[in-house]
Amino acid sequence: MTRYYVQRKVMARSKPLAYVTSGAPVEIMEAMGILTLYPENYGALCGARKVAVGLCQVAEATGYPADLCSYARSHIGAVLQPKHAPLNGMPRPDLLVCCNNICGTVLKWYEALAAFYDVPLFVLDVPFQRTTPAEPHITTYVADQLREFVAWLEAHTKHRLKSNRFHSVLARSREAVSLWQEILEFGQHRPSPINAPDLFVAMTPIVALRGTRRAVDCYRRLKAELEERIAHGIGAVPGERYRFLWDNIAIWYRLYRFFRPFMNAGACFVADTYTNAWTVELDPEEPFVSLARAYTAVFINVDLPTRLRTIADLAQRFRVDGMVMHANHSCKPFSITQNDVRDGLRDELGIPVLILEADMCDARLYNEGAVRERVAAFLEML
Amino acid sequence: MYTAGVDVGAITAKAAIFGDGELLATAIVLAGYDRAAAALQILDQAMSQASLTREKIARLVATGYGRVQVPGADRTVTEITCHARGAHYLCPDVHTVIDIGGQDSKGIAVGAGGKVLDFVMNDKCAAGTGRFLEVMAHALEADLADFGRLALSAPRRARISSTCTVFAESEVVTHLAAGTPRPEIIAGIHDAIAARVATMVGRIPIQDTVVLTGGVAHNAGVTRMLEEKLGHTIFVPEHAQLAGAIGAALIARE
Amino acid sequence: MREARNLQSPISNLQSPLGFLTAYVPEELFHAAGFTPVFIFHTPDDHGYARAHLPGFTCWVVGSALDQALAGRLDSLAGMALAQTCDTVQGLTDLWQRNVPDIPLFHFGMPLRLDGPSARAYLLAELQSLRERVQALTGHPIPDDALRESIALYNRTRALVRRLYAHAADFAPSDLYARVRAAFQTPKETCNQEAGGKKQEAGGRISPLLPRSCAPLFLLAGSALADPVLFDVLAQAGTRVVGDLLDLGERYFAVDAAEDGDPLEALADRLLALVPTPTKHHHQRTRAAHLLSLVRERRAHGVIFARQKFCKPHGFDYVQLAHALDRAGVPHLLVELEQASQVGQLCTRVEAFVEMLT
Repeated sequence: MTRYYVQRKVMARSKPLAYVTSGAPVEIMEAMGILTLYPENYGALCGARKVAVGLCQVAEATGYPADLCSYARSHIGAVLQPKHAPLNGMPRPDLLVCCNNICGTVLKWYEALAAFYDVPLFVLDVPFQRTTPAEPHITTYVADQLREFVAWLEAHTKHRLKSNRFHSVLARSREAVSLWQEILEFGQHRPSPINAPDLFVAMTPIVALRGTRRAVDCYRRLKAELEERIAHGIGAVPGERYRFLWDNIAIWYRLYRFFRPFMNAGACFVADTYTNAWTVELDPEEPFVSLARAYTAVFINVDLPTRLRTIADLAQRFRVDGMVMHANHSCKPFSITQNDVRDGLRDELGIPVLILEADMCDARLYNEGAVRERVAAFLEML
Repeated sequence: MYTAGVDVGAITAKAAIFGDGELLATAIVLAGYDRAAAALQILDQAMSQASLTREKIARLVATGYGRVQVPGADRTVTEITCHARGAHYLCPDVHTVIDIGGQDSKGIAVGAGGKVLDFVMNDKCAAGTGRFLEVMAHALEADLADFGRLALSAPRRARISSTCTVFAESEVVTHLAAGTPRPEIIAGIHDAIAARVATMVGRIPIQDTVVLTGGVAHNAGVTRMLEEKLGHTIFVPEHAQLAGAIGAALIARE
Repeated sequence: MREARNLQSPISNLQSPLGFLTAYVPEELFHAAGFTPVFIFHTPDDHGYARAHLPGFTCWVVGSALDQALAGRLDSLAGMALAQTCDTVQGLTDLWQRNVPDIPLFHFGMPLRLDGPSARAYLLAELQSLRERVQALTGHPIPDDALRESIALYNRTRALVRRLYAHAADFAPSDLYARVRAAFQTPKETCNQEAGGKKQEAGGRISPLLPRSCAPLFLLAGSALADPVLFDVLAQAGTRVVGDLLDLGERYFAVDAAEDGDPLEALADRLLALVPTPTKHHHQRTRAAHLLSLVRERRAHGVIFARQKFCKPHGFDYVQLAHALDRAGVPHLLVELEQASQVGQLCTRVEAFVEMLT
C-alpha cells in the first residue's frame, strides 16, 4: 500500500491527479491518463494503522461532529495536519470527482475538500435505483453526465479521451471484474480457500486500480494460487466447521484480531457483501450507457428487495450457516436496513444473524468486551 | 454594598458574598435533590460566615443548572458567563477557562474584564465530567479524593478507548480481570477524561493564562494530563470550585 | 399561541391526506391529484417501533415518522411521499415499503445536482414518472389545468408565509414557527383563508429581563422546525428570530412556481431555484453566501445552528457555514437536538450566547 501511494506521489508531478470516490467511473480517467487516488482507501489505511482516532479528533476540533463518517473525519484530519498522518498525507489533488452512488456523505466531504484545496469539483449524480432494473430516464441522466464529465476533464486537464484507449481500458476493467468475481466464487468450495479478512486486503486493486494492467495481473496470480489451494483441499481456516457471511465494510483496526475467535472455532467467512460490491459487469455495447448502468446498480444503491435477494442467493450458493453484520456507524447505506435483512434471512432461510455495532475506523466506538460476549454466545448457539 | 452569588450545580451548591469588591465568604454543600433548599442552605452558611443577614444583601444572582429554582434571586445568569467573570477575579490574566463540573464541562474564551468571547460545552454525556471519575472511583473502590495522586503515581496508563462512561466502566473491569495494576488503570481513566476535555476545548482558541475551574480542578491527575495534551500550563486557583458563585456575586454588583 | 396551534388539523380530519418528509416533494402535484399533503413532523414520543428497524445512529426526524406509522398513528394516510435527499431518507424508502405496505410510498428522485442541463431534463422526466405513478394509484389523470390551479393555490400560501417572515421580529419565536408549521399541516385552502383574513398579530411573552427594543435578533439554520422546545427556549431567552436557513423554513416559501406554461416545468424550475439544502449541490450558488446576505439584510446579531443528532448533511454543512461566519465576524452558536431534547441544556447554551452578545 505504501508503494502505491509513494508511486502516485511521484507520478503526480507530471500527470493530473484526481481524488475520486470508490464508486466513480474511473475507467474514463484511466483512459485519459489522469491519475486517481481514493480518500476512502486512505481512510481505511488510517484505520488499519490504528491512527484514525487521532486524525478524527483533529477534524472534530475544527467543528466536525463526531457522528460523521470516520473515513471523512480521518481524511480531513490528515488534510489539516499532514505531519501527523500516514505517509505525511496524500499528495495535493488537481481535481475532485465525487459520485454519490455509494452514499450522500461523499458530496459534503468533497465540497469541504473543494473549499480547502480550491480546485474544481465534478459531481456525478447517480439516482437511487429504487426498482431493478433501473428506469430508463435514470440511465439516460447518468450517461448524459458521463459525457459531460469527459468534456469537463478535457477542459481541465487538456488530456483527451481517445476511443481505442477507452475501449482497451474498459476491456481490462471487465477482465479484472470478471477475475475478481471468479475469485469470490471460490468461496463456495468446501473448505473455502478464502476468508473475508484476506479479501479485504486483496480488494485494493479492484477498488483503486480498476482498468489497469496491474489489477488484471494481480488477480490472475491470485486466482492461480487459489486454484492450487482448491486442488489440494487447503482451506483458509483449518478444520472448517462453520461457513459465515459478512456484511458491511471491514473493521479496519481489528482486521484479523476480530476474526480470530471465529477461526479458532473453525468458522470461515466464505462470502461478504463488501467485496461483492465491485462485481458489476460492463457490457461491451455503448460504453457510456453500459457504464451508467453498471455504476447505478452497485450493491448499496439498489432497492432492499434486490439486495435481500442478492444476499439470500449468496447464503444459499455458499451454503452458509450464519451471518455476521457489522452495524457500521459511519455507513448509513450499508447499515440502515440491516435489521430487516436479518429478519428476512431468518424468516426465509432460517439463517441465524448476529449484528454488532462498531465503526470501520473510529475505534472509540468499538466495545471489546461486548463484542467478545456476543460472538461467543453466537458461536455457542450454532 | 453587599452582593451574593449562588451556583446550584448538579452535585454541589456554592455561594459567595462580596462586600465592596472584596470576597467576604464562600461555602459549598452537596446539592441533593431539593435545589431550592440547598440554595437557601448554602446562602445561609455564607451569610453567617460574613456575619450578614438577608436584608443586608443588596442583590442576589443565581447561576448553575438549578438557577431558576433559587428563591429570591434578582437575576439568573448562565454559569458560562459567571465562570468567566469568577475566573477573571481569581486570575486577572485569564484568557481560557476550562470548567469541569459534576455533569458537564466547558471551555470558555475570555476577553478583557472577564467577558465571554466564545464557549463550547459538553453536557450530553458523562464522559469528560466529574461523574465519569465518580463512576470509576466506585468501580475501583478507590477514594475520589486520592484519585488524582494515584493516577500520577503510575508508570504507565492503561488504554481506555470508549467514549461512553458505561462502556469505559466495563473496560476497567476487563483490565482488572486481566491483572493490570490499579494505578495504571486509574492513570488510564484520567488520561481518558483529559483527552475528552482537550478535544472539546480545542474548538476554541487556547491562550494563556489557562485557568481550571469546577470541582474536578482539585484533581492533580486531570490537571497534569490536561496540561500535557493542551501544551499549556494550567493555573488552578484556590477557589476553583467557587468560580461560578464568585462570578455571580460580582455580576450582582453591576 | 393557542390560536396558532389550532391551525394544525389532525390528519384524520383531512381529505385523502398524503404524508411527506423532506423539502423537495412537489406538493402541488399530489394536491392536483386530490390529496391533501401534510408534513409528518417528528414528536418526542418514542413508541419503540422505529428502533426495531432503524439503527440507533440515525436521526429522529426520520425515526419518528417510521415510529408513528408502525404505531398506527398514520393509518388515515392515503399515501406517503419521500424525495431523494439524504441516506437516511433513502433507507426509509426501503423500510417503509417493506414494513408499512398499507400506505403506498411515492419516491420522488429529486436530483442531487441543481445545475447543468442534464439535471433539469432528468427532473422533468422524474416529475412525469411521479405523475404517472400517482395516476396509477388514484385511477384518474392529473390534467395540466388542475396542476396550474394547485400551483396558484400554493403560491398564495407561500406569499402569506413570506409576509409572516417579513414581520418575524414582531413574534415570539415559538409563535412564529407554530404558524410556519401550520402551513405544512393545514389544507392550503383553509390556511390561506385564515391567515389572509386576519391582521398579523404580534404575540407571545418576552423575557421580562430584556426590553423588547433590546431583543437580540437571530437567524436560525439547520433542519429543525418541529422541535417546540427549541423555540420555547428562544422565546424565554428574549430573542427574536428575523429569518432562517431552515430546510422547511423561509427558503421553502421564497420561490413561487410559474402559473402559466407547462406546469411540470414550473414545478421543476421552482425546485431548482430554491436555495439548496445541504444534500443538494449547485456549483455556484452556495448556502454560505446566502446566509451571509441574510445576516446583513436582516441585521442579525448572530446565527443559531440547530442540528439533529446523527444528521450528516447538516453536520458537514455546519462547518462550512461556521467558517464563513467566522471570517465575516458573525457570532454563532450550535445546539444539537435529538428525540427528547433537554430543555435545561438548550436554555444554558442559548442564554449564555445571549449574555455573550449583550
